[in-house]
Amino acid sequence: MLLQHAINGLVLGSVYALIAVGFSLVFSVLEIINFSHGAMLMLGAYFGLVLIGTLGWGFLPAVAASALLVAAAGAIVERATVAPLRRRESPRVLALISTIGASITLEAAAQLVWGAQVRGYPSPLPAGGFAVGSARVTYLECTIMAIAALLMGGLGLFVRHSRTGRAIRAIAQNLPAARLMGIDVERTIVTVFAVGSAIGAVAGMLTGAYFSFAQPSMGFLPGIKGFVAAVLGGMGSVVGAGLGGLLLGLVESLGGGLLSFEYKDAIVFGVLILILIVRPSGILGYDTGEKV
Amino acid sequence: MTPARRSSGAPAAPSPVSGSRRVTSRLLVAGAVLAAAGAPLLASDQYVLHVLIMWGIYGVLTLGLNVINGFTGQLSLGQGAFYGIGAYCAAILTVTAGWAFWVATPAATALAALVGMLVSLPVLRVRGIYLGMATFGFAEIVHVVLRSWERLTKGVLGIAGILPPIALGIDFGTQDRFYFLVLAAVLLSVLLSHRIYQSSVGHALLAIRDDELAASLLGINTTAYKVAAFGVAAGLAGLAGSLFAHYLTYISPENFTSVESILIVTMLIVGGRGNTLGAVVGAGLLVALPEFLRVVNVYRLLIYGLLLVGAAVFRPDGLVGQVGRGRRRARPVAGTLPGPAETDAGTAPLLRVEDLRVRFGGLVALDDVSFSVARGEVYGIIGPNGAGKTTLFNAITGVAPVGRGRLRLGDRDLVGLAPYRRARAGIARTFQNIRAFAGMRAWETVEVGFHARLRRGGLAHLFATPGARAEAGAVRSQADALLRFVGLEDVADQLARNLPYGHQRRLEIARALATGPRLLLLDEPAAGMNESECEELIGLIRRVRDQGVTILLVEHHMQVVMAVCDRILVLNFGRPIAEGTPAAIRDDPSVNAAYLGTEIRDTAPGAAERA
Repeated sequence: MLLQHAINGLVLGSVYALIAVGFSLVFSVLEIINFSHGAMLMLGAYFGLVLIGTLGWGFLPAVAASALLVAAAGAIVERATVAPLRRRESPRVLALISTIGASITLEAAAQLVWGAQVRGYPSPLPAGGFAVGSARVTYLECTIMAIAALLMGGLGLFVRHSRTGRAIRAIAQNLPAARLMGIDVERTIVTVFAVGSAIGAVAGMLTGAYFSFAQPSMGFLPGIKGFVAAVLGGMGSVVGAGLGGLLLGLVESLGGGLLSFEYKDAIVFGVLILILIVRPSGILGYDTGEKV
Repeated sequence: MTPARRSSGAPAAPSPVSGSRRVTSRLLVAGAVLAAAGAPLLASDQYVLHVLIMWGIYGVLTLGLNVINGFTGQLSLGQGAFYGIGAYCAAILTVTAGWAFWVATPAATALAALVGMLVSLPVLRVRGIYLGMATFGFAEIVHVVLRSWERLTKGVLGIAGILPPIALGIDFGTQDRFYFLVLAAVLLSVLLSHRIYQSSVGHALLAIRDDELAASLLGINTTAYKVAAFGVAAGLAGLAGSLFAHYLTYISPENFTSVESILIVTMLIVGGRGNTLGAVVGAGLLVALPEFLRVVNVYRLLIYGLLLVGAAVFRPDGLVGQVGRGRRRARPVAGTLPGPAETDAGTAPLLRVEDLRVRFGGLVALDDVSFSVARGEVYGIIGPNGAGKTTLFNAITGVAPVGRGRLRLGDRDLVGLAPYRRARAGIARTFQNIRAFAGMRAWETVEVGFHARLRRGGLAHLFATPGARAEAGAVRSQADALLRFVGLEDVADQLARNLPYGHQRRLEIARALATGPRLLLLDEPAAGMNESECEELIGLIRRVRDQGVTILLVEHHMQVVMAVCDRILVLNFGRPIAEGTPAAIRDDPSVNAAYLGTEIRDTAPGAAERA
């Protein structure tokens, strides 16, 4: 039982990690909460559904195409709802409202296009799996973990070594200084939104496949969970997002399975609050403190 | 990123409220209340009444959030939790225990406030978005508990049959009568919010919002105020919850989800944070908007979402923005407030620093620092950048942790004392990087410095008792005197952050002096000042000293140091290397060799200085 819950937790956690990293990247450069991220999951899931279901694409090409489309959507949301606030030097908390607005708009649009009803979601693989000790792992679960591990690893390398990645880290440390050093800040920020949204789209398709459904509101709860994971791990760190996601998945699965299924979410948020009280900036976050 | 229009978090300066405008605003308020009271006559339509009642309930919720977020600057995404706690408390008390509305509602309010304060104690350690997340998490937990604790809450079925309020045989459960109950609750909340804002309590909250550290160094117990503000916010949410339960007579956990919490935050920001009127307007708008948009049916949510984006982008200060935003000044009353008590009269040194060590991880910022400052002395601390001068100030004021050694003010041991307590013991400071309260005008900046010297309690000031009013008047006359003392009486109504640099430095000194300090720490007060401004500063420091305030001065500007200091301590790499009179320091070969070269020697009065 324990092993099974742990495996489920890791699967869930790898999806949370993918969602978390989108919040985390955006927060690291702008210190805002991008509330529209959950809508990106939903968009990704629906684009995938259309590509697979209507156009008959394979799962992996559909993932790639959906990620590209949602990357564009993420870039548009940044230009339309976040960039204007930055130009006006508005307080950051306003980004919460404008991205909530974007999220509601996208959900409403999805509802108009695809309907409000729950739709079934195709699985990329035939049902089946194999035994690990007393537990069982499906091929789908393996695929989810593999895709998540690949993407997180790739993103980590991208942020660490690529030119754009260095620009992202420079902006995260000091935006005005990065601009003065000749970094194209606006382009980098759009890139961050696009990359985060693309990964969110993949997470959306994996969520759809894992739970076998899609719905316009499907991004909300995983979005919240992904955000919790990002905070848990420490905002602004790819590794932190990965750790936070896995930890959240494990706590949810083990807490729900072993302690109480009803109180599963209460356990998750209880752990979140405890960790924040002990480490106010998350596990890997560093407290910048206040300079006097 | 050239700002097309400057609009940061703080409000722009409203013009001072004059007498005639005060009358006008009172008339407006009276008119609004009359209109609200007459609304059921004009709109007997049940549907319109329903919308008005929901506006009122959300208005109370948003007014509550405004206290903790708008006034105090703490992001709470958990207002829905206290709403739910209040509703369930009232529902259970009336349905199960048979209590009447009139008893259950205060009980629900009190319980929500109590839970709010208890939760805030640990949670307020966390700041900013992390605080938002922690409160959001708490709201999620409450929601799960409401759903799952079936013996108490009946789980997802919810609680039905909540009895309507009855008084003197009149049933207030009918919509048109319930409306007046809600209206009364709104008026009460508006009045409370208004009194908090105008009184010394709100003044302290605004200081915490603008700069928590500076506020605590003025002797404001920031934790206590934040907990109290959280309690008020939660209490008002509890009140709204009880109203909601009695209005619908049926509640279920789904009424109190995280969506609710976020909706309330949205109402406040759309209306205007920190603004009582804004909170009410924002609630009204977001309650009414979806109703108006029913006409466009399928496009309702789409338009709603776009409007939210538009509100955030085009009205960053909220719809109400800056209308009616100014705090009113008290009428001046002659009188003085007592300063920190001097329990230790005598000739012993005022400040004694013994063997002080401060370290940050592996870095030893200060080591083996010992010196004492006599009463009435101006004691200078110089040294190259990174020598530990500001760290020394931070250690004395309680901002930096003391690793080893002793700090005494008179006969009082400072080590382990919270920063606000050290301020109350008589230590005040200015900052190297100016820390003005961004939303305050000059007079407010100085008046809030008097906060720790108020003898009447927060409640007395909230209710404006005669004693509290006299005290507020005394604060005003003393603040005026201080503004004159530093030469800023003509700009008293200006926003502090809009003042020229030199004025801001002097304003910081006035704010520090308002605490009635025995020891004043000046951290590079001459930074960025030109020749003549330095001369003025020298005069000001001498006048402060002549009033009996002992001064500790960190300064690179040798002209100032040499002119005002009785003795000087030289720090280098966190260790003292020399101490003595200005003349002795100027001629000390080790100081010259180690750090200053020939510079001090060259400093004749009026010489250009580049330290």
